Amino acid sequence: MPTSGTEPRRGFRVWIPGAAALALLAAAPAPLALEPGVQLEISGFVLRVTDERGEITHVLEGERLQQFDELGLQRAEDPRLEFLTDGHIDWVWTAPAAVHYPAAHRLVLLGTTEGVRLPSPEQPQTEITSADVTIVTDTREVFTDARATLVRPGLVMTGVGMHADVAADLIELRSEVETVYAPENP
Amino acid sequence: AQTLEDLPVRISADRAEMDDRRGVGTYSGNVEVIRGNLTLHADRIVIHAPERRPVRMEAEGKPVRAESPDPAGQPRVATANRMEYTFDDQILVLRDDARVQTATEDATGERITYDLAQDIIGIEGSEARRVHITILPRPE
Repeated sequence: MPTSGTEPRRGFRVWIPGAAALALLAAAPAPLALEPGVQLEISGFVLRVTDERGEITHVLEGERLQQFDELGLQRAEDPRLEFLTDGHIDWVWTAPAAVHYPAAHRLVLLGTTEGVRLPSPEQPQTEITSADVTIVTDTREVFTDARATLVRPGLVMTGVGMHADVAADLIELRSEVETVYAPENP
Repeated sequence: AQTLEDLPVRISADRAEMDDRRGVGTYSGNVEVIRGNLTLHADRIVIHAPERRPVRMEAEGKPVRAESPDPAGQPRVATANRMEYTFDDQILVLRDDARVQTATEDATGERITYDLAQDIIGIEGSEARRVHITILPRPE
């Protein structure tokens, strides 16, 4: 019987006993096989890396991680890399995809890459936009041959080819440098 | 109206290194600096921006060349192998083969201090390099 617009629609619920519900979930179509060469695949991953004192130095998370043992690499979709210092996130790097070489402490971010240094009492927020950026996760050095643009209150700096040591706040641009210092609030 | 402090500083160069903690930016290779009506060309410059705002610039070149019109709009050209410029008071200090050419003077010396805003030149000589000023006939 149709209900009038004012009356709430009568709810419709079905109760499924626990075991049956699990069976339904288990029946969801699991991939029949992983891509060739993939030994391990994780959907929705968080990788936390600690130093010798057990403190988290960086976190790599993303949509999907595929591990290629023979190649010694992992492929990540929608990766997000966070650098931490004393428990605080100071840098966040994102890109559409990445290739991770755990043994070499190297993460190659593929495509348009964004790096954000979060604001702290000493430094304002800084944003770096580039592409195809290689990050050495233990030394926190960042490399690219592509154009990199750094934006921060009062400064815009761009150049082709970048090497940054984000731990020491040093950045080097290798060619075609354009910089504008402008008052932060004229 | 845009005050002096509001004027952006535009720099182009072949290479740059930024030390964010010390607030020091080093630019090298075909460096051009533009700030308002001052244009400077050098081989290498160092910008000191301690509070993230440029306060001082050191320039090296063979020579460094700075051009800025005088208050009457007449051309002024300063050259030297080393220059220092302070942004807030627009003072240019020239060292090592220092020379300033304006519409009415051509001055050389060991060290020249040029107040671009007041259009005042101070020239210091040395035994090796005496002060020379040539007063040019005022253009008709």
